[in-house]
Amino acid sequence: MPFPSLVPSARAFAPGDWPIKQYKALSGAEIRIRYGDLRTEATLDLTFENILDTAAAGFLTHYNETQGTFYTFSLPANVFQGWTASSSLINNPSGAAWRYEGPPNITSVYRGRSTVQVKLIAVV
Amino acid sequence: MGFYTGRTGSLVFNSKPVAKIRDWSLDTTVELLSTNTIDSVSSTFTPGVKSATGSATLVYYRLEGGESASYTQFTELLAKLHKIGAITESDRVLLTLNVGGGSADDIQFYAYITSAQISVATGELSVVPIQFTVDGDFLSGGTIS
Repeated sequence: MPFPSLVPSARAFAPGDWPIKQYKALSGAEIRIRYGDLRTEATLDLTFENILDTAAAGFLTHYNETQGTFYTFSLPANVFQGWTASSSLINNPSGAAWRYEGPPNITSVYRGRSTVQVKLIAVV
Repeated sequence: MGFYTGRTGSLVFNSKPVAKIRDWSLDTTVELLSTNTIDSVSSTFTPGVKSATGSATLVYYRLEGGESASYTQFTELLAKLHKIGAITESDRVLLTLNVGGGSADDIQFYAYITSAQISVATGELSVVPIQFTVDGDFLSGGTIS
């Protein structure tokens, strides 16, 4: 089962960074060494507010199928709905893929309705 | 039946209307859960929890001889809150509000009295305004139909 194809009610994206190590000399001079040419550890926090429990269950199924934070996956276009610039800017960087940063958080808000919060991280 | 006025309204407690009531009102609301998504341009909702609160103004009126067979005295409701000791679940009251006298005009529910005021002013009837919050759903057949 792929990641549930739902439009989130809130989305927060942070682009991550290149693998860089910084060294600082006693003089204060800074030296940076880049260890790779791929941007990594972009994060995507998604909130699906007041969705049906059956839809919320889809996240649990997907989390099981990816064996939690183990396997990586891609995201459906619906996740990026509402962003009018190129969706590639807020998707995983080229050469990376998403995985769960932690288990999805499901809050039951009413009979048959739940709010799901998902934290994803892009890894090479 | 046409129009109704306050003349035909009543508040029933203990199977008898409360004597000398000035007014009552009931406000029913439903909490709406937002189902907006990022691409929404208009708010959308799904209904959540329903709740109701109300108020009534009871006149500070002591029943006269023979009236107790037909009416409830205001003190029976007042005593559910204005009392010594803790308020417990036994202080939940079964109220029936009626607009026009017929059973189709009945609104019946359990409630807790959440506020009671005793108001005395020169040149005015002493009154006991109360507020209540409905506990649970309306009872079967206890909505205006």
